[in-house]
Amino acid sequence: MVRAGILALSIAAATALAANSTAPPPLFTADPARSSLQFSFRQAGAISNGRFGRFTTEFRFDAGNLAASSLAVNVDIASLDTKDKERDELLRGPELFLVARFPSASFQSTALSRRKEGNFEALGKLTIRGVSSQVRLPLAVKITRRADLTTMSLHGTTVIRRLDYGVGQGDWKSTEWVDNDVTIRFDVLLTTRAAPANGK
Amino acid sequence: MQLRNTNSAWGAVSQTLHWLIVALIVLQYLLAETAEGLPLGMAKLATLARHKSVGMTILGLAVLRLLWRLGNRTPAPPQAMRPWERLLARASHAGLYLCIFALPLTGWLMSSAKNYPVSWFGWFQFPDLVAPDPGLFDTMRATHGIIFNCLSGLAILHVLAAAKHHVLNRDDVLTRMLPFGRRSR
Repeated sequence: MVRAGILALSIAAATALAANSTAPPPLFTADPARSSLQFSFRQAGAISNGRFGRFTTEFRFDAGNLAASSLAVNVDIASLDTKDKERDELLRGPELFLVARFPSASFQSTALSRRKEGNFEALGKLTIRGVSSQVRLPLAVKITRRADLTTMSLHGTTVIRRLDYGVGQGDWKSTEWVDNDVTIRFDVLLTTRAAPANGK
Repeated sequence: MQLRNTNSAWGAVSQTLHWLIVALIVLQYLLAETAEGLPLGMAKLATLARHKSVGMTILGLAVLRLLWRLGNRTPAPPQAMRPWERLLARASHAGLYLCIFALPLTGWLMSSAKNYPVSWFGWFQFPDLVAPDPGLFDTMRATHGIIFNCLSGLAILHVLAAAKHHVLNRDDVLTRMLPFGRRSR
């Protein structure tokens, strides 16, 4: 009787523990009005900036359960803005992003790891213009909890090579006037508000 | 020929700056005309990048030239010149100086307003003067063109005046700006 009770208790405890560790991390989604995704490129020796006006960020994140955490970003390429309509059209066109065929770019993490305090690294697949490549994204994460709302600020900068993704066909394959390196910078504000109360 | 100006002749520094700026302005015109005929693409980007680098070079030379002029004597106009001729000469020279400053500056403003920052031959980047602004770009582009027309008009007047001094007045106004010019006859 006593043994059975202990057994039942330990099963319950084990189940609870297991349930706790496999509970999906909370899902954070970006607030578009308070998020920015910028890129800077070197054109004819001078650095110019642009941004993507529309992108979504979904970050399932629990610092204590990185194995179950994952980051997914989707970028609407047509929303690019370099403050010059002519250049924006050229960028959307066939020799650069070919938006008609590849309307979006995405990042999907495959593994998250911890760096120093508040800093993580997402290893994942970056897909631009239909070409995927493995990249490491540094993530500076800061979480603020207030009542039932949890807010996360997510920042990071990385450098990618545009030609790895075929962004630059014809003349634009040359790096004489437009550098291969493009710096991506994201400053995203996410909340758990939009997530369903009990995960899935 | 000495470096500094004298009361009767332009020194080597003044002459070099004068003719270098002339040559670069001709080059600027050719680059601008080439770029004008191109669709937005690599060739246009390259041509305009050169136009911008040369333009900033002219701005730098214009600053040097003005400083050199202020720190030097200016050769005196020929005694025979009447007051209104002196006034016209002064005004047209002032106009030319104004143009060699205003052209690069409005070009720089065009670049900033269009978010195509200015680099000097890829060596370094100049700061933007204003935030991107398509309306301001259009205004500056029109102004850049008007100033170029003013410069062209003044340059024609300048050449005709030099020719008149040389041929009709037979003074040394032209030759004293020529590195291998004959001294006054």
